[in-house]
Amino acid sequence: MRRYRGGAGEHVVWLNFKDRTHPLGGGAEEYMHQVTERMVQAGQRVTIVTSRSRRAARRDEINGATVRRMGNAYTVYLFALIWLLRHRRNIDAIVDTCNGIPFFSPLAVGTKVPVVVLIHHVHQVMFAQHFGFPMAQIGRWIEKVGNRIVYGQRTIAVVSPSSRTEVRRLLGLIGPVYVSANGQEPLIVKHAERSPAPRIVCVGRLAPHKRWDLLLRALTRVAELVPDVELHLVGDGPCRPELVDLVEELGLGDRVVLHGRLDNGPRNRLLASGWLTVCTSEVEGWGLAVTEAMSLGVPAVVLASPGLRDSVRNRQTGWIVARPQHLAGQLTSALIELEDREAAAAWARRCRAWAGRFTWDATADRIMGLLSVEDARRVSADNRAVCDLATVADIPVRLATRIDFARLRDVDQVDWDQPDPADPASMRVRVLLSGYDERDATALLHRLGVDTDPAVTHLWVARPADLLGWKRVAGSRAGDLRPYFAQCAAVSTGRRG
Amino acid sequence: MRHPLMEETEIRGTAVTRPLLGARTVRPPGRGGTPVDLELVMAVRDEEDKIEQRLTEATSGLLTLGMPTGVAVVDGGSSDRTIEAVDDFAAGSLVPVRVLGCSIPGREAAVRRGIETSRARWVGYGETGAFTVELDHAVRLLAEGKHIVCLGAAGHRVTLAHTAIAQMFAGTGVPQLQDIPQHAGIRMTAHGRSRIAGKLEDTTVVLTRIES
Repeated sequence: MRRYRGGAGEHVVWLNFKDRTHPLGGGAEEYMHQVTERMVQAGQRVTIVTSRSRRAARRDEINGATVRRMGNAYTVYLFALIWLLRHRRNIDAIVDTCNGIPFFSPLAVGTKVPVVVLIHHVHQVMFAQHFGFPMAQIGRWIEKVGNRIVYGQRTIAVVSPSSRTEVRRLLGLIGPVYVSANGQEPLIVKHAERSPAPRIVCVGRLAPHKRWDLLLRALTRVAELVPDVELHLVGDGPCRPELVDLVEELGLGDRVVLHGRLDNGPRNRLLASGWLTVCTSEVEGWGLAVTEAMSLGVPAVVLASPGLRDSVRNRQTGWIVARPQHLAGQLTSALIELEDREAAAAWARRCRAWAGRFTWDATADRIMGLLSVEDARRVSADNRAVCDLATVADIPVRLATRIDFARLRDVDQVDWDQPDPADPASMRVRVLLSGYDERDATALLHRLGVDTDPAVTHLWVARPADLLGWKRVAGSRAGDLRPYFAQCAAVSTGRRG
Repeated sequence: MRHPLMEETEIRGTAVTRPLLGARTVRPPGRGGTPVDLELVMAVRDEEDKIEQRLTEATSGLLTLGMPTGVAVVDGGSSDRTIEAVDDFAAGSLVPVRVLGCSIPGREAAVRRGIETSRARWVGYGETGAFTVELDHAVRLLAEGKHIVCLGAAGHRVTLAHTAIAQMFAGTGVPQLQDIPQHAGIRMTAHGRSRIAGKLEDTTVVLTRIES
């Protein structure tokens, strides 16, 4: 029997080894609280099971979600299992966060409760960096083999296409993997003004893996062609003394400012004054600093590292640099291009549009959709082989009115243009059909009565970038989409008449 | 709490802008292009690191043929950036490259999908490698009236065939044609160059000839 449909009154348990109040809380915890807050708003009952840091209350409430803290960073897994075992009859769905080590919740609840595994990034390398023998080996084995044995074909949610690659390549997990990207709060700076001089503003921790040294070395070459270029680095970290020395050694003292930590207000104002932001990190789960800058209209130059390359649309919202040695050249050409105010305004518009796609509402919608899919799969197994392929169907709004989006699957996603008052008929709707190739998509559209003439309907295999930035999940909770598109189509028909 | 239908996604206080419509991805190159005489079908899956080399080898051989040729890359569900790498290659390639997907598991299914969707006169599939002389010879044999040419050269095996005939046995490597009426009249040959006693020898053999 189905337990979870994303409706009011259902009880969701979110397992994560930290919460927002934990001293080491970070992006994964922000993700959890933003999504659970929206689940609560949807009328669901949410319990967060997490570890208990010193002086933290055993029971708490954050944004309407009940927080149950138990055990420390190591024992929380055992305590959580016992808690799940005791409450298993009262749980409708579980989000099991795998921060290197998952909670193995299926051991407690079996197949009676849908479990979605949430993986922000793979920790195989980090185990070796933070632990010695034999803990590192045990951790790696648990993350890889233990995960595969316990979770089997359960649905996996990842935050970026790069994480999906890692989950398949490094962990070899066999369940269906879906991208559920981070959202972000839009940054707003009133009366922001672009700096008159070419200014690069970067925000990030001064940590070794960020490789700010690459940027500083590149800046010396950029300055040869853009003499008044300046760099502002916001953030603090263990590499600060080294970076101060490097700035002095390279003779960049007059054009580089290391601001340290800044409050949000001054930080955002400085960021909005930049022409460009840069991220030279070797690895990121998701380029949050980059998409935040984009929400202020600042394009980015990033290295083609996992996570970062997902957050930038190459040559549309920034530039992805394949190799560090190309960084100086790319920075120079980008700054020269952005000298033109009209060109810069066009870049800013694209950046804002792209960053505006990443909302916590969409993330929450996606997670609820995945829980619903997992529950449906649990009750009646999908005989289709797991396939990471997806197809995008791009259709005019008048054809979208024929689709009952509530009859699509909850893994499918929908996106649409905002109606253009000047040309309402140009509005198009896109549907991401997970696990489908073009032939499957064509067959589905035919069944739905949609014309698949290539001149009207465009179908293509989704690239990794196509998996990001979708507004809504199709399926049982998408009943309002069809009337909305019908209304938009009626406006366009009325205009034409 | 879900995405409001009527609200702009833009951040307040900024000019209204259209979303990145159609710019979400590079449109698969080669789609809807002019038909080609020969199309090589490559089934791929999670080959981000190798695909550029494979395409370079395949297209360098095709370019020497002096006829309209193309490559169909059929992705069987890559979780990495294989298709993006194909797009990057296709952007600078003189040989048109089209990308399509196949959700049915297996290499054979992917090859079959490539052949079924091909509008070329002849298709090739198998371990596409850096063929030049062999490919040229095989195309001449096809032009002379052979229906299927099996190549074995430089450690690779490729089968070239008329598209309609290839659909009968697509993806099965060297075709095993049974003596049945449907196969009547199909002319098949094998062509290879193997190093025998230090010399390259042409070992073309007519394998089967079933007269209708």
